[in-house]
Amino acid sequence: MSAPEVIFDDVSKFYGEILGVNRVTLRIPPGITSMVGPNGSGKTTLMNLMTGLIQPDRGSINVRGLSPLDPEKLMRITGYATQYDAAPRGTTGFQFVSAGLELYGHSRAEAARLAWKALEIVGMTEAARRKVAAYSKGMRQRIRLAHAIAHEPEVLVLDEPLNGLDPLVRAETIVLFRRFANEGRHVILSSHVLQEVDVISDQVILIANGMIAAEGEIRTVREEIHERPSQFQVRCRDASQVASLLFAQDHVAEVRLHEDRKGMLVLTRNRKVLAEALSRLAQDGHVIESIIPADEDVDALYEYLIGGRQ
Amino acid sequence: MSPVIELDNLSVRLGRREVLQGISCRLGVSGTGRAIGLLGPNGAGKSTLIRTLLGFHRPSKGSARILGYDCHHCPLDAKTRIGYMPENEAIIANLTAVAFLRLMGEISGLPAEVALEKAHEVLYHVGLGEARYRTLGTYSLGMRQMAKFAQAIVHGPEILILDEPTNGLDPIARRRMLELIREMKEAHGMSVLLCSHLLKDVEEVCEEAVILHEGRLVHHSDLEEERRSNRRFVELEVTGDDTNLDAALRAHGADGVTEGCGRWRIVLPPGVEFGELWALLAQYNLGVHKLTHRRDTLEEIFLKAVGHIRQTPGDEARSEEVSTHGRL
Amino acid sequence: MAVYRRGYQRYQGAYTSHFTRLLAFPRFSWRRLMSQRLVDIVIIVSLFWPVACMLFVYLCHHTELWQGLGGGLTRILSVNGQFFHVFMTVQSVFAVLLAALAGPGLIAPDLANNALPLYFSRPISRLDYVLARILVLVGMISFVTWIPGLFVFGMQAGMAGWGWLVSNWRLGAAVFAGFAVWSLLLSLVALASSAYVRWRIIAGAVVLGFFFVLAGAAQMIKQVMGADWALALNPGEAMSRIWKVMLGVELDAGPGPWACALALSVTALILCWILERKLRAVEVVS
Repeated sequence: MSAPEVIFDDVSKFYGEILGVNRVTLRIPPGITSMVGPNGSGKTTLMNLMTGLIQPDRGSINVRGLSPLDPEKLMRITGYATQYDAAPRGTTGFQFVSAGLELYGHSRAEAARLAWKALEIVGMTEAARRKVAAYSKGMRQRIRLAHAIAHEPEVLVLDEPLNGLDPLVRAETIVLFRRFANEGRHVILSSHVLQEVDVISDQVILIANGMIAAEGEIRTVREEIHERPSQFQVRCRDASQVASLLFAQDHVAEVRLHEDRKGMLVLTRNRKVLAEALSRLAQDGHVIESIIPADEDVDALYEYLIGGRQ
Repeated sequence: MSPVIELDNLSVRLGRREVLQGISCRLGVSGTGRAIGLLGPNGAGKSTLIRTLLGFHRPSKGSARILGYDCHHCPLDAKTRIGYMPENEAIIANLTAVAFLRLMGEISGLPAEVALEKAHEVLYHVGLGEARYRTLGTYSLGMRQMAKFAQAIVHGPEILILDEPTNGLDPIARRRMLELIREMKEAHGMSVLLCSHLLKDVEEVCEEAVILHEGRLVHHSDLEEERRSNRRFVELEVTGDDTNLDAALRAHGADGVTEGCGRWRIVLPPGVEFGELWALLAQYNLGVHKLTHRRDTLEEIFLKAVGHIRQTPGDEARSEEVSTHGRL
Repeated sequence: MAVYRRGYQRYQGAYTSHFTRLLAFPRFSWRRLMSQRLVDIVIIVSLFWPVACMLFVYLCHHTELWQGLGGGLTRILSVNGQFFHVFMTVQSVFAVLLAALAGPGLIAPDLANNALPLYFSRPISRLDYVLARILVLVGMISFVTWIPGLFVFGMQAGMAGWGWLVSNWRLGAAVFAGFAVWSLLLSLVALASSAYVRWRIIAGAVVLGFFFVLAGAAQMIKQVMGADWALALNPGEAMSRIWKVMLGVELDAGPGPWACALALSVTALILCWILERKLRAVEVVS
């Protein structure tokens, strides 16, 4: 049996004239998937579609075998933490989380128990009795997260979940996502902080203008962009010499010296051959101090695929 | 070399709580453009510190000085030289961007004609040129952040205080913001106090970092020095079969720990040359995909300073002991 | 051919003085307000009465034009305290209208999107900010109150001669001082309303309501408790009484000038206090 997936099949959604998403096809396996793209590119629309809050204008959606046309079943297995506040006026943190649970049909006692469990996971037990309106930004973020995970959903959808969190809480939240992912659940989040996306995601979806620019594992996505040679920043003491030696090799497309002439940017069509070449040069006595791949992260992907094209 | 910000046993009390407790430090160097990162968990007192520097809170003990001016006793002198970008939304919705910047410029002390010129100059420079005649209420979040930044620099301050400047910006806008901050620092000699949760931003832009925790200063490091790091610490990513690398390294007196997927962190003993490491890697048919020197990352320094981890890799080697290291 | 690189240049020149900086607020606000048609209309209409008064003054000094109409008229044709009191009463209404129109847009936009930290991170204090805003209103209200008032007074003085001026200079001073106090009070009411109410129309209504409601309440208290001093609670009435005293007009039964002054001072202080509470750069939650 193949792993349960979240599937979008040729899905479009327009709000009157305004574009949501335009013919999107995706298969998202379990694990941590990050959606990356400019504001207004369709990330929130996709999230609303997969949690069943809105219906597509065309195409079909399948979330782990369930369809959003069957909302009662679907909403049991999804948890959604939106980007903006959604707590009713005057509720306390605890009430917000437990009320949500009661809506799922849990008894009051059971809802309270699960609520406290969730609050403990996000570290909000102390503040839970205070009103949400009095919370700081980071606390609101965490209470939304608690609300989303309290009923132990199989599909966790999070809109910019790490926004406003300090590094400690960020790290703890990421550990939580990892745990969920290891249990075979879907964790689908959107983020603008690309370095984090790099570190925590199993897959990435780049979206712009309502259309998918790329999806899959970061390394494989990069490898598929053939037109662009790989970039490496190399620092070494006798850069001009090393540069000229590299130039002589076929796979090197471009070499740009750093301003201080103690390093260079190498563009190569074959990473492996470059690695071998550098190894030989190092053993020959040229002091190669560092080699850093310059365009293998989501940042580079973003720039190549979405970048100036707005 | 006088500091840009000088805190002398600064304590600030809000209501019944003592939010800042006896903070003393000297940050920045007057006359050179340096960026100082202000870090700390939520509730550590960063906002309170910034507000004290701006004269919004008064110190209950000690003093705070910016560019030599006491923040509480000579607030107007200090504020002439400060450009502030608050974290929360701060605009006047029914003014156009040009009118907004003119007003801010004139209040800061620019003559009226200069304020008008500067308003256009700054708006064009930060990328809001096309939208400058539209009212701020129609701007998107990213544009409002830029407008906030624009009003902080329009009067040519000596020090910029930026609170979460990249908040909510998409990656391209974020990069542009960081570029602008670097430009202000390098090309225009402004000092920058950057308060952010994104440690990568701080690492990219700042030369110094201070970490606050529960109202106290728990760490003050010079990031430049950390960067000019000891070459003995190596971060490596190899392709190929690296199962025997651990033993091989130890045979050479070096020690390494792997994070999987070919990623290694190695401490080379004093006698071992770099060339030897390359030879070793070649011997095991390992291709080098990435090779850098890194002592503690800012994240590790942060986690240690707030007590989340007991020690960082850099610590152990500092005590001249060569041992395995990794996160505890 | 030359290639120029003009990006952002850091301003290194001299900074303007404190006062010039403060004047930035009024300059912006006046420009904005004068471009509003309704404000222009109110100002123009409010100048009709001063013109009519000037006409009256002219007629007073050229009674030959009235020869045919009999002696009865000559009695009312005199320019005295009573005349100026009527003048001030009418203009004061226009002043209230102007405050209701211009006031709401002064502070509410700053509070709506949290712009106060931007102001206070600049070299101005909270007091400066309030004074600058008050200046906006006082400036506009002056234009329809004591400025035309002094024109009328000046015309009368010119026509009546030096002797009249020497014995009646108090009237001119009263016009100026009386309106100054009124402008200040109006400004405080308008600013306080703007600070607390976000929607302009409602804020304007609050300004108007302040005077009418208090007038009605004072009247009610007077009827219910039979106490004349209750009239001092009506700011309009209180001001009117003080003007009468300054202008040398007889007061009818009711609170004296000092009681009225006290009532107005207390009102002003309360308004200052509630303004101060709203204009904080940062809210401290303990």
